[in-house]
Amino acid sequence: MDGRLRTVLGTVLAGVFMGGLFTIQAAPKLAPVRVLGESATVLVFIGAFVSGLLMGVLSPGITRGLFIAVISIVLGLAIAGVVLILPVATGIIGQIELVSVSIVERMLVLSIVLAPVGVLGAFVGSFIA
Amino acid sequence: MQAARSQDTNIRKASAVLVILCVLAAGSLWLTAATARNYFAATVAASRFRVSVNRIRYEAIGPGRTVVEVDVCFDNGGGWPLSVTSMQTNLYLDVSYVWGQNFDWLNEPIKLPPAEVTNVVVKIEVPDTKADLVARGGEEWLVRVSGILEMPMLGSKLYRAKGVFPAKEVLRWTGG
Repeated sequence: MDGRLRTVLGTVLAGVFMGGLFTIQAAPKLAPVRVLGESATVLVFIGAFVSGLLMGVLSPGITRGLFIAVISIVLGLAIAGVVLILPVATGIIGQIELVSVSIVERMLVLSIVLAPVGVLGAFVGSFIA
Repeated sequence: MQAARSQDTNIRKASAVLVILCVLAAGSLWLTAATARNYFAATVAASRFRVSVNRIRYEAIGPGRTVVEVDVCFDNGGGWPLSVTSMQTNLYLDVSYVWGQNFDWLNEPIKLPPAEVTNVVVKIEVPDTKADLVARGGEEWLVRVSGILEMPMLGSKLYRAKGVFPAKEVLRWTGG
């Protein structure tokens, strides 16, 4: 497999991984497993580090690894955002708000905090590689 | 030879990383799908929940004592059983606040079975200082209700509704 293709595939997979974690972090009470919902924020931090680490191992060069780690977090955020916005986009809105603006804001702030964690993971990963 | 071996090691490492990422992504996809399914079910339950104020009527019980009866309709059109634990009811006459009352049903929540309409009648006891104002009435009566709705998995959510009634639609109740 071509190196570039491998990197793109890895980034997409890491993004999908982060997307799931961001989704349960935004709606912890709706997580299929209660324990996952309760520890969602911790899982998001661990997830960012692990995905950064794996991207660091996967891609040659520290700069590239760091860049990809951030991209995977942004991709995960986008996936979670799409899931959360779908009921609004499809027009299913009631008198009760399920996801408040503060949850979306918290998710965005968390993603900014997570970027250095992912970068740290990529840094460690590039040393392992 | 050494360069070829190093490249082989790198490819093996990359393959192992991709396999790990595939497993993590698959697990995360399941997590996203399951959470999204619950989220959509909750959204549908929330979107099919409606609160409305159906009717107001008032009764002068005695000198200076007036009771305003508010009929609130909870329409739970979704598939989830819901319950109401509290309600705040405020009465306005021609946009001016008259009186309000809180109702707490935390110990015995009002159950709202799925696909059913539940009517709740609450009584606001207007103090004697405001009784004359209510007896005089106005052109428009306004009732605002809000409170806490308990949803499965999601916990407490806020609901609110209001009802505007022209004076001729407000019934003066004579008891019985």
